[in-house]
Amino acid sequence: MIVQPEILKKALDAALSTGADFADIFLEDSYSSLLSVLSSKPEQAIVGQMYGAGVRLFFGEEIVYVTTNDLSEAGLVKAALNAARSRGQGSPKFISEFTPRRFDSLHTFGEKPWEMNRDTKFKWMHSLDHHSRKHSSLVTQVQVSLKEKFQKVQIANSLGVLAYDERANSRLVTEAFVEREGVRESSSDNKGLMGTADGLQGLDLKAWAEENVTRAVNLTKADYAPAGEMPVVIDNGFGGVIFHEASGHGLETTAVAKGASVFNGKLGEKIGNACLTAIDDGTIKNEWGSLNIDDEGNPTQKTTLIENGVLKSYISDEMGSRQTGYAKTGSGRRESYLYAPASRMRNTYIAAGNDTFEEMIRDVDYGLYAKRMGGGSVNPGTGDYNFKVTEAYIVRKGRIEEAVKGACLIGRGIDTLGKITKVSNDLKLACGMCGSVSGSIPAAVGQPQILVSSLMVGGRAK
Amino acid sequence: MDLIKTNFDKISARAASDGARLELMVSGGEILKLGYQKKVLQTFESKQTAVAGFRVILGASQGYAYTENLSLEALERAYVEALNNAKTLKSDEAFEIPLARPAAVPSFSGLNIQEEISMEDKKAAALALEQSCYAKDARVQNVPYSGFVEGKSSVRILNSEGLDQNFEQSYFTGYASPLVKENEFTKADGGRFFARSFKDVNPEAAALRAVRRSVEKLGAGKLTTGNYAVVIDREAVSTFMSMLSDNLSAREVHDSKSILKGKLGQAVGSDKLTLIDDPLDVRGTSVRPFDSEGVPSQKTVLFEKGVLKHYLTNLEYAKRMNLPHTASAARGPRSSSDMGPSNLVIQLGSTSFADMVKSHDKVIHLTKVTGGLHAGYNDATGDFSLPGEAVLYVNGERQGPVDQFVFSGNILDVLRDIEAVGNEYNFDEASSVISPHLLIKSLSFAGA
Repeated sequence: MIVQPEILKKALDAALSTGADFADIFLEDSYSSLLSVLSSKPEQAIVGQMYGAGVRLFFGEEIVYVTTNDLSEAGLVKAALNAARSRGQGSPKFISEFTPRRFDSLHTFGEKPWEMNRDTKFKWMHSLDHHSRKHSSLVTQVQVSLKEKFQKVQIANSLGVLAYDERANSRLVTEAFVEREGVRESSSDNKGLMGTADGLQGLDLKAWAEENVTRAVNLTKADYAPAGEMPVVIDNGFGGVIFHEASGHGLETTAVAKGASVFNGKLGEKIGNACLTAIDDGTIKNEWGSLNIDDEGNPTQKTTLIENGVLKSYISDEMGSRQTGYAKTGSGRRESYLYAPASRMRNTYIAAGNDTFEEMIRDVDYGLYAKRMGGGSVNPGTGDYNFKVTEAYIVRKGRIEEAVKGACLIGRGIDTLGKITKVSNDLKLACGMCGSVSGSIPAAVGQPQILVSSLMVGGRAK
Repeated sequence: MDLIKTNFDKISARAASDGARLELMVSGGEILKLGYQKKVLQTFESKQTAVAGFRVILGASQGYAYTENLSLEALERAYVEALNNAKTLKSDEAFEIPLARPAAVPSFSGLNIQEEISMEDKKAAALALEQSCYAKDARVQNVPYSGFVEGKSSVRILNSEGLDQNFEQSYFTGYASPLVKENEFTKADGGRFFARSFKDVNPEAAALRAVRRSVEKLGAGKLTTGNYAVVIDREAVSTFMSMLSDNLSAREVHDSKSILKGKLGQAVGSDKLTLIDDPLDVRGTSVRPFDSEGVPSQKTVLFEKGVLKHYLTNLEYAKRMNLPHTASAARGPRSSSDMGPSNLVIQLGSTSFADMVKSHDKVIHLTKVTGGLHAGYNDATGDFSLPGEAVLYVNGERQGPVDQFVFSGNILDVLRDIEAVGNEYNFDEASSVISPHLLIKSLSFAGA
């Protein structure tokens, strides 16, 4: 608990004093740590505290949001009154008693970031550096970092919700730079969890470092990817960024309610082939994008978005639900108290299908096997997306052949869904950071291998 | 009473007894954001922030810690954490990281105008951003994203050498992004403004630019895959400068991560290119009287007629690498010391836009890069592959808009292949990149 419930009640009453329809308060006390190793030496050590609150009011569809760093009774009431008075005078309302949300955490944590021995953390990072350099003499630089966050949140609203939760996120990132005959390349990879850093304990650091360096070295031998439309097989794991960008953002009520999504009004309609089922699930134990409760105090859920090609649900928060009439899905998320929450994804993936990877490759006469994806972005209004491919191979007459580099995939979300013609049975998830209106948040993506019958590959024109 | 100074002095004395030297950065901000949708005020956000960040130096090592609680107790706790972080990184290297000494800094007028603007006037500006879009063209279906922002920010830096620098600025910004539709085509683009005084706020003009840009893209055709000469619109040059900026950091060079390593004094770019980092140019949005170590700002020529003249340095890396000090320290209170550009200014050339689009049989006028760099730029190599929107010219005649393409190349090749530099700037939308149009010999386009 960060603040006593009586204080929150007073602040909510102040927030409702000019007739708001709804009010909530989000309080945060979080500890962040960044450690890094560069040039085989410890490089950075930064720790810090975020401490503040956001008061949010609804007047119909109008959202008022005010933040403060003063979590005393006087500070919270003042912020609440500032929010309330921004809208002028209406009839005051008062909140009823709180009904505290009681729940058993879905996740397990070990030592908190400030408790765990730093030597252990630096040992992991030095080990990645050592194994990377030892694996190839072409390595010119290695940078390894460990980011940890431990966030305490308390949420109360005018519907009587009162909730407290603790969250932890830990992420280890390694990047290797190589140079071969004047050609430079790099490769980076990360492993993360919604949990404390001891959850990274079992990683095979040697194998991981070697795999990453091998990828960078292979890129130095690769020619540029071809340009043009072609079938693309996208690998499992982070390949799921295609669904995240192509569809996920357009299914958030933040975009739907504004009429800024190509998926607007398509609930119950067929938007993909029968092989496509997609899920957004915040309940997976210690998974990167998981939660117990969302940032509006609602229990997280497993939400089926698309089932056998038919749109079943949007991703909805409190305001999104009020605007669209669709049920809340426990998806109100934000980076910190500095942002009002918005409907956001958690762990979003395409569910396992019945095809095999080998069958997909066999089906391609000439195309691209996108083994590893980089970041992506989308315009939800048009559905236009793009994402980077960091490891790719040409597929010729059903066989995976030479490696290519510099590829990017672009398309329109709703078109791409209709072009997913095969889904394998080998589902994997991977972690990423998702940036949108309510800041940058941990969100996992995932999928089995999929075959997209035609996609625009941005490579080099021959 | 100046509490920040009083508390700093107490902690600085403690640092001296610990054998440490100290820098404190305190940044603060106030943001008011108003946004309408369908004449309903949907967003009213008022945020106040204050963060204090310590940098504690022990010889060659430095540790950092920050807090949003500015009480003496919280600041002392943060200092201890920063000191422990510096001890964690302690090395045997015989090097002393320098701190800035007190010095007079340039003063600016018109960057911190104290104006009392009524809430009604601010709401009217926010409403005008949305409603003007509808008024400009019947094809505007919706304005899902628009907003008016009033901002104030401050940064103060104090250190063990007795330095105490403070800079405050205020501004108004606004943006509108209408969704336009014709037949089955939907397009969205944006317009914005940046003003130091409310009297210069012009939401109608920003809305007009947003609508014009969106409508111009309706009916876009596909582009045949191939290599084309390109005019990079001055509005799109900032994407290419973002690719370049990290590589200019002396630290990136020192750590063998910059693609500009070993190229100082060499002709990297075309002789048409002169690029200057100018934190004193008030036409840009990244004006600063001092860098994030508190050193007075200065103008730095980065490329002169294509030759790489300087890396961006802070005090530490100027000393480590024996390079000229460019006062380019760039960090926030939550981050570690780094170097970065302020306003990047490309010097004017002599070629008109009309002459640029006539210079080759086919010329692509690249009006917008639509994807983020994280989704198509490789910072280890400088290679990029990004989606965009453009207009195709054949024999100097405008053929119409094109989209659904990806353009690819390498940032160093772009600098080398600048054939002509435009002869005018446009300050309708202030930015930290001040550039005319650039004509590039060839880029690869993947289209139909």
